[in-house]
Amino acid sequence: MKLRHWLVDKKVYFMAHSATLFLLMLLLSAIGINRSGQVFVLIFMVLGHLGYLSYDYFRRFLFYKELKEHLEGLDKKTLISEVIDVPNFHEGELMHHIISEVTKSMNDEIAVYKKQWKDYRDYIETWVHEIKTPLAASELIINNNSNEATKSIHEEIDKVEAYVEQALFYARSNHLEKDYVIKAVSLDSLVKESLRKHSKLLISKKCEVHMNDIEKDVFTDPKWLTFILSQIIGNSIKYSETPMYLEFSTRVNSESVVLEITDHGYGIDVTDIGSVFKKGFVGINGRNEGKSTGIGLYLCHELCLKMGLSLHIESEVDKFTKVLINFPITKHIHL
Amino acid sequence: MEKIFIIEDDIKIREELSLFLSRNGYDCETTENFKNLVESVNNSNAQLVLLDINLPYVDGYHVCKEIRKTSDIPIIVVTSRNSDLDELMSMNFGADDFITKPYNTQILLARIQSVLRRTTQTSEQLQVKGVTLNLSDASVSCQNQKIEITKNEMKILHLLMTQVGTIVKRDDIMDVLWQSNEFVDDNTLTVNINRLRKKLESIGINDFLKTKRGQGYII
Repeated sequence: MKLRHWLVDKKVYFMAHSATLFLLMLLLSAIGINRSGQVFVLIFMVLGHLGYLSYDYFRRFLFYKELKEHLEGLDKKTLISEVIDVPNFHEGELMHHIISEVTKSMNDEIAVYKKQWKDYRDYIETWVHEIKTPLAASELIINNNSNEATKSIHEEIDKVEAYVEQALFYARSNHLEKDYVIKAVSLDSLVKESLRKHSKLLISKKCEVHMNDIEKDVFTDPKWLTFILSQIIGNSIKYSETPMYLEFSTRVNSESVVLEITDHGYGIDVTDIGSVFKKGFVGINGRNEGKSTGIGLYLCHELCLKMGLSLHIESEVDKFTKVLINFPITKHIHL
Repeated sequence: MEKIFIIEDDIKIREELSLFLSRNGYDCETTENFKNLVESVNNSNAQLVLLDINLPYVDGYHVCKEIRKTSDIPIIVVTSRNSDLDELMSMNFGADDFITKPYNTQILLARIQSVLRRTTQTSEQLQVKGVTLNLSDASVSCQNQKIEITKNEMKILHLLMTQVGTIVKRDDIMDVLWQSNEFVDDNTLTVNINRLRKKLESIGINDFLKTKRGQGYII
């Protein structure tokens, strides 16, 4: 609260008061009080008034100053009513009361949504685990009745599994709490696990797999990273001709280990490459193939961010796509 | 023939799993009574238990613990929840291995084989048409002649010798190799098969591994 604003606010009061003083002077001279007496009364009245006004101004000034400072300093603005003191003037009390009420109502609403979100997330988790039973049954039935048709269904079932997995990680990625455990794991074993998951599609696409120097330990959550690798391999499968090519290699510098995953597929257009990590982004390839959801890479990017890894992509159309995952080497990672 | 006791509440999975395992050379027993599981397991004389964690009436972990009280029978826990906690719980309650649904059937088979190999002293040999595959020292023998083969060659031969009379597709052979972290491509498989044939021929086994053009291989 600036003095100027407060004065402007009080202009009617000042005008009325000046008029009163003027009338008082007229009255005093009419009843024959001399000039020095009049000046004395005037000074007395004005000083007394100024005294009260400054007191009134300063208690407001202090209250609003505190309010503003707290508001700016607070990370969560809705906690404001918890940190300010009740002021000693009525308007301020009213203000305080209103803020508390509004805040409480807001917090209640947020709590409702939080609970709804948690319920939804729990439901997704349960659903994902439940759907795995019929999927496992289908897989067994397919295995017991092996022919061209069931083999083809098997490939589709594998895709369903990948989408189910994606839903689970999507639900997890938006969660406020951390539900991952970062530990030292061998890149080599995670890459192999992800390849095994996609074995059927990769084999049917006659994939040539190369692995160079990937026996490196990195700090990450193994399940999350396996999911990320699976998504990346899944993309390579979607956007490559048969026979396809996949290469995994690492580069080590003083600060990080970089895992590079390269395919010789369609590549990504220059106009698209800046947007591949955006949610819901479907580029030229996605539209041509007609089965892109724009979720996969977005999710990979989010999960990497959460784990403190960085994800980059390089590409040249009709030549290659290279995904780089950067694992910082540090003895003191913040868990 | 080794016997596997399957504890699974989903009827379809139970039936298809029994069928799958019996086709792969195991005797299977299942139950629909989940109230006296420990008793059924003990009476079955099975060599291995496949235990689903989500069961009606009882908690799978509890069953695992109860079985352990009276028996050393190997237990493989099957679950759809793949959290670290589940894995830890299974191991704490005495399970020998842990596998998540939906499982790759080849992996399931490999896990069963390896648990059984660890726990029972089975003869690790496979014999078909006078040719013996020794799993313990990775060799093939025939009429007092013996030759060493590589890990990949052993996997290929093992797969074909367990499915005598059926055509095994190239893709299926590759999948089995991929599941054991050998990411071979088409050309490599051809090379592997040719080398294997040459090795077999060198100890006098001819025409054992037949090619069905465009379909796969058959013994």
